[in-house]
Amino acid sequence: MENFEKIEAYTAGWLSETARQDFEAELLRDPALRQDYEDWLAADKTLRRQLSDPEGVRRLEQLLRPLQQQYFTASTKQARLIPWKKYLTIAIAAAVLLLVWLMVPGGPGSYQLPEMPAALVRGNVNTINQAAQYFNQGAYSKALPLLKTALAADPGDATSAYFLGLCYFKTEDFERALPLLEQIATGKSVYQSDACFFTALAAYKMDLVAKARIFAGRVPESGRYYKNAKKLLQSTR
Amino acid sequence: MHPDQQYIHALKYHDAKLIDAIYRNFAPGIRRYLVARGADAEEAGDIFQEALIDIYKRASDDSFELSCPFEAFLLLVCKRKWINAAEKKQRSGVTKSLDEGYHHVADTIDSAAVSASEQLDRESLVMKMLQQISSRCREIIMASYTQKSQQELAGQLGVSYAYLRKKKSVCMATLIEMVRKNTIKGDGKF
Repeated sequence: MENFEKIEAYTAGWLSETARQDFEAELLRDPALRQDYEDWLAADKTLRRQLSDPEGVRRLEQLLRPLQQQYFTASTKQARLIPWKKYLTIAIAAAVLLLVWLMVPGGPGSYQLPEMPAALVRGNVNTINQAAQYFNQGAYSKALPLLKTALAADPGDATSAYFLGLCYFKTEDFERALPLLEQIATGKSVYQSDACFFTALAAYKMDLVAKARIFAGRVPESGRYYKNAKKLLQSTR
Repeated sequence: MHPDQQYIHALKYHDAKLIDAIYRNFAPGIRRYLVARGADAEEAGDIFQEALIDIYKRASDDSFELSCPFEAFLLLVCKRKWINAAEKKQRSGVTKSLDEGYHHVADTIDSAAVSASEQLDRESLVMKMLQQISSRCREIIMASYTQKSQQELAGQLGVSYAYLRKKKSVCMATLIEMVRKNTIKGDGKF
């Protein structure tokens, strides 16, 4: 502590000429004092940079705030200005075709979601059972927060992660769905092969065609979504 | 000087047009990168904004010069922030290599950029410890760096100037000790 009092006095210029020379000589002799001095200077520089310009930081934050909303809200996939009128007709036609194609029996969009199993011994039984009930009723937005809670309590639970991914998928939050499903698809749980299909579909929804094809190609012939995956591969050739 | 130094100037001088270009050019890619590693969109946004503010504060030092593309440096800072945040939440995310999806900039990261991003980490640690120090010490340290006259400050705090000087050195010593104890890598030095 004594070192820091001397350092404070030296850096603030409060020492007499003799005391200053004594301090500088001691700095050369004493490595512990030298270390304290260097750390003091580093902390002092940091605090000066971090604290001396609150007004500048506030002004910058004001500039960043609307850009944050534009580029980082959950629903913003990618902020881009598009001359929409030019593409409106094409977009409507494409949407209709996609809808028809998705609903064709045996097509990639005509899948049936799996039933979520109730908890037997896993984690928070009440939360998981309630989530399973909602999921199996198709109330995905109600199942979603419960599955989030279950996953937070047990991050290694593949069931919670997989069905949370599916909830995000069904509520069209593909950006959240994709990493969760991909994690399961590249893992070793019982959901691995099914997750490959939903990863492919989520990637497809996000226009990540290459990724969609990779995961669709990983669905095994014995998998329940093999035909859907095959259709996806055919249509993205 | 690297041509992307313009972005550092933009932050430093609050150039709205170029700051908009920072978001337009780099936010979508970095957002995808963080989301693929387990962040949600809002977390990715917070990290992106914090990184820009950190770079702004670092840019107040005129000697700070960018040695690699801005995107590579920003990605490095965001990545370090996400690792810290994920560790705090004990969340592993999807493990992928640093440069996956970023081959075009990963190779341009040099030792100077790494060192600058490490410096930002150290500064974040100092500020984190400042939040954990006693409220009296925090008050004295913060006021010392935001007010020009130490005599006036002593008057405001209701203490003598001599006491303020002594107390400030004690508080700084405590802060430095806390930072040393919480420095994970290296030899405990700043």
